[in-house]
Amino acid sequence: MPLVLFAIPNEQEKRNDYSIELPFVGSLILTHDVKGEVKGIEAFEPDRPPVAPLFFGFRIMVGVGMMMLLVSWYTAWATRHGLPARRWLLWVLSGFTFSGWIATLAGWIVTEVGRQPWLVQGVLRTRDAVGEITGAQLGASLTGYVLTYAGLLLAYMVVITHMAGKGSE
Amino acid sequence: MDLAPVFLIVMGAAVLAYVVLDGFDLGVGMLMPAATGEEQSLMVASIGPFWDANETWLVLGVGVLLSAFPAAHGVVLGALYLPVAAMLVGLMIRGVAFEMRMKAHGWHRDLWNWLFWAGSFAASFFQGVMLGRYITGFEGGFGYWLFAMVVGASLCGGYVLLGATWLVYKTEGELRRKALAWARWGLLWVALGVALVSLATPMVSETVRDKWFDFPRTLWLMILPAATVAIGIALWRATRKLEAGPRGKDLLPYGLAVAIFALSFLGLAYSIYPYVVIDKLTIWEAAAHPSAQKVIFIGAVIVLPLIIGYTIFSYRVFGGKAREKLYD
Repeated sequence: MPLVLFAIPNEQEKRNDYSIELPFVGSLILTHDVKGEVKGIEAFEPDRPPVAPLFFGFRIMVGVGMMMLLVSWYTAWATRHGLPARRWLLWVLSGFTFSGWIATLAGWIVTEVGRQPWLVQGVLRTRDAVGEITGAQLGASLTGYVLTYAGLLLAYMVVITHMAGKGSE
Repeated sequence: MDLAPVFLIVMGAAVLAYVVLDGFDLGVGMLMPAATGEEQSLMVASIGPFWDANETWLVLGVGVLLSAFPAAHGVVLGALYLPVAAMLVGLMIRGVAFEMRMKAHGWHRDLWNWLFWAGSFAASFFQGVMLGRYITGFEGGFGYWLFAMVVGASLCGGYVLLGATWLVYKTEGELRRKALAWARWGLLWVALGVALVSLATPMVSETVRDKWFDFPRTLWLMILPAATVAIGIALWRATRKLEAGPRGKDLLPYGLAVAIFALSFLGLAYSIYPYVVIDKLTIWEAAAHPSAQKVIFIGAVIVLPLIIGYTIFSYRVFGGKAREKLYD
């Protein structure tokens, strides 16, 4: 099985469009054998999650994580060798302010969407675990949480901008 | 061995501990607008080392409800979905405001102070609403919701009482004098709330009515309300007496306030037992599978002494009058 770096999954046709692949690497990672067999998602029909959120969530998580490693390693190396802090590097670093959150959220989507339709694998379906709460109640609470977190995010950004403006003392 | 009553006691103890401990810091939060800027810093310093550990009791109570009484957890938290969500938003805002107000200046600090008050108020009010909904068996209709809101307001008064008496213990001079006056206001609200709940529960449920109005047992049971009233009067007089001098038995008002909460809680527990959802679900009907109970029991035996231990330790380390500039 190849390692698919990027593609547009096509659920109707059950294939990947425009894919960029590394042959055999997928099998190597998952089974430690270049000819290892990995079960396809068809093997789990009909109890399988939607493909797109999983496919992109996983690649965003790993991709952002890899980029964080590269940027931090390069910056550590550059600092150790006394290279002056370059403007472009500083901009890259501030661009990574929320990268940890993005990777965590993408990973969260992978686990939560990935286990559907099960809440507890093979024991309890999400459908059977839903409580007797109306859509209006859920909508109200979700709105409340989103507004609260948006406000807190704004406050957080004001604080870090303020602290960055003060510089290190 | 029947573990259901054991878990009921653990859960009840956790809820009571939460109410009297987080109650005082929520109460201090609600009293913020009544104080001057300098006093506000001192008030925050007086709850600083305690407030977030106090909230662990709520987590423990709900955790025991979920693990030991899963059927009741589904019914109770399903019925209380909206007040719980509103309470959580209040607790989130309040927790963040607590940290942010110390670093903020000018109108930013005013904003965070206001949010600290608003979050404390929302959390307290919706906890009271939850209590009001719970003891009326989640009945629908305008009257029941109005009742729940009055209980919400009364619980705010109760937390103000705990907060004010806590400030009497932790502060000196002018702020302590103010706190003694606040405590009396809180006490009046508590009297209203306890009276309302005591009258409402037997009216709503026949089971509760039969338990309390069953002569001659009623005569013995009347010790409970009588003791509550006596403690209330003693608390009122203690605040008057403490006003005379700069120092006295400053922990006494808080202790008496805790006693009022404990007695009210006992009365409520007696009303509802053996139900977890009034008239609908007993503790045995709601209990988890015995094998699950055994696992939870082992966990509780390990964790509970640790929680109690660090709680006592931290209250001893940070005992006595609060000092200003704990954070600034």
